[in-house]
Amino acid sequence: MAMNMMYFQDALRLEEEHQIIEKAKLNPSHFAPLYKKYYESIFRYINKRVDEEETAYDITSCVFVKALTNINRYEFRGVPFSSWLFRIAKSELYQSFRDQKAKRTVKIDSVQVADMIEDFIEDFSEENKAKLLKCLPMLKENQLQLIEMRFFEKRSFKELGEIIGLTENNAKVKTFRALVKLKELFNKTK
Amino acid sequence: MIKIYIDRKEISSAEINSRQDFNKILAALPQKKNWINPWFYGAIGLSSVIGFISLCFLLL
Repeated sequence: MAMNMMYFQDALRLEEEHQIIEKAKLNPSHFAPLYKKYYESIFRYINKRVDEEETAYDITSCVFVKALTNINRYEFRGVPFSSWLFRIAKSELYQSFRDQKAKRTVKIDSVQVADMIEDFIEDFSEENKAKLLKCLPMLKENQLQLIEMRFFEKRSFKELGEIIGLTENNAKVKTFRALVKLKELFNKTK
Repeated sequence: MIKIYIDRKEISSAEINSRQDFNKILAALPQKKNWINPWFYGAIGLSSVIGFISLCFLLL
């Protein structure tokens, strides 16, 4: 499975990020390089889950405002800063669903659907595609999140765990269970 | 109800990045409260001591 390469960074780059964060703690204007670096990936993460683009831009801005407001609480743990940003993005996203500012959406492409159907050892057909699309909204929100991040966004279990606050092993187990549930629904659906 | 969109047109990187506005983020940050800063207490404390000593000298 192809992986999200933004997550995998060498020690030098992680250290560079760490230095920027330490400077940003003293003066928020030093945060600019990290804003530039992660703006697009945070926006895409949000935009895949909300109905309207403008709402996605607004939520993205809120994520960075919140990150900078709380930057003094950030502790470097040897993982990319993006994990912390995605965690904030996730919480801002669910806050906007609760406030009814955004509607929950799943945006996928045909290739991802075909890959998933192949994982179920089924032939890719229009009928199976329709079945899968019917089953995805039947999953619980936490199961859908795991399926989206692992299979549609190709995130590693380690990154996935950091975003949703689980260990790597726990993320693996829960994703496996979500996939089993989806297969069950897929086989039941006519 | 969750909506599912399939093969929706992707927004280009150029379009996304053109919406970046770091100054807007900085402007939206809550203002730092001076009284939280230890230097603020230091300055107030020092000026109070100087004021007190000066007053003592004047009264003597």
